Amino acid sequence: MPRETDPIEPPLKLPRSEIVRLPLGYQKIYPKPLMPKRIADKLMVDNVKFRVRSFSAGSNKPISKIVE
Amino acid sequence: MIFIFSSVLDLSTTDVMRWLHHLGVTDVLRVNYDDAANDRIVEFNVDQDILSFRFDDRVIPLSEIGAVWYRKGRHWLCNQFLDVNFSDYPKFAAYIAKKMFAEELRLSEYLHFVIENAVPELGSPVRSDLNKLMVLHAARQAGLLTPRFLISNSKASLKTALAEDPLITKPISDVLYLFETEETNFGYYTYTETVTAAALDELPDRISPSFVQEQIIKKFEVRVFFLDGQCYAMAIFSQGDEQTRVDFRQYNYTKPNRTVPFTLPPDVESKLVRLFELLKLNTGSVDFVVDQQGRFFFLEVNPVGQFTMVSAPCNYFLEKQIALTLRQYATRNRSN
Repeated sequence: MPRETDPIEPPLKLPRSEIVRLPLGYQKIYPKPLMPKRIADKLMVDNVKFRVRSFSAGSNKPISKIVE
Repeated sequence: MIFIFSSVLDLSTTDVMRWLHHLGVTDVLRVNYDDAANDRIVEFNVDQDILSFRFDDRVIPLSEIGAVWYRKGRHWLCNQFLDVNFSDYPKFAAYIAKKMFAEELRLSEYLHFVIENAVPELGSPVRSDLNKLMVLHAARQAGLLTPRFLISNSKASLKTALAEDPLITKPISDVLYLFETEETNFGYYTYTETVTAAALDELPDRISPSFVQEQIIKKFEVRVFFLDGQCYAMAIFSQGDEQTRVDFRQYNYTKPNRTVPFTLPPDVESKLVRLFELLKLNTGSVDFVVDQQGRFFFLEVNPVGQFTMVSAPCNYFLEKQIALTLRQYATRNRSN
């Protein structure tokens, strides 16, 4: 099933001749806006909802086995 | 008094301060390393090992400080070294600026050293900037599994390694993480990336030294916040989403990874405690990946890493735990 995801910004377009001179771990540099406001607002709402719901449910009990 | 070194935008510091206030600890001083606009001139005197500060009109001898939390930042003496203008001599000006930075760094190191030897401290400015490679060495000493790594400046060596195992690459030091100004609302990042044969083919034979590591095909990953011997762990199910499979920091905001509180296996936990002993640290954030066989592979530790991302979804209330720890340090210090 395809997932609904935010598109990943393409790596910064820097001159290829210079990029290959950098260590491998630096060869893809992503320019990204800081978190879009619509998402920050949604996360804030979700976070508040989640906190209230899970706090009352006592869900801070850690699990030691992952059920998939 | 509880003394906190932090940064202006660190909201988790504010949350801890709120808890301290709630717990009745009201004498708290926070110094932000990036608070350059702050008018509260810091005056300090170091008479060999005797240290005192002045903030606003209050003089604080070291003996008044009950506990210190080193949250982040190193150059909290910002603006103490006065600017000079040698614009007619640009090379000399650049050199002297570098020298003043070095002076500030060494002074800051010494001040923290004096504090560390006199006051119980959570976190450590001296050990906040760890060498990833030496930490991997220490992790193996502590008995933890680590993915095999190679650092090479040879394309041929990297190709040979890739023929044996799938590989990822990342910087040897911290990842690139640059925010431009708030107005542009923009930043630059690097992430952990997979290494492909096609990408290697494009490189010259001799390259800049590059770090590659065996890619663990993960079942899930675990972020642990370590606080004074206690491990607070969170499982992150990042493997099922193409966007977050290699690096969960490629956040999918539309459908975030599922994150749940997690109990580390006792042997992994005891090895982690041993690692923190070896690193002489009492707090930090640790990353593990768990492979298909359930084996835990240690990736890295960040002594000043974010913990709200573990605290909030897992309801660990780490901000409160940190406040309690600081209060306990201060109480113990007073009774000694």
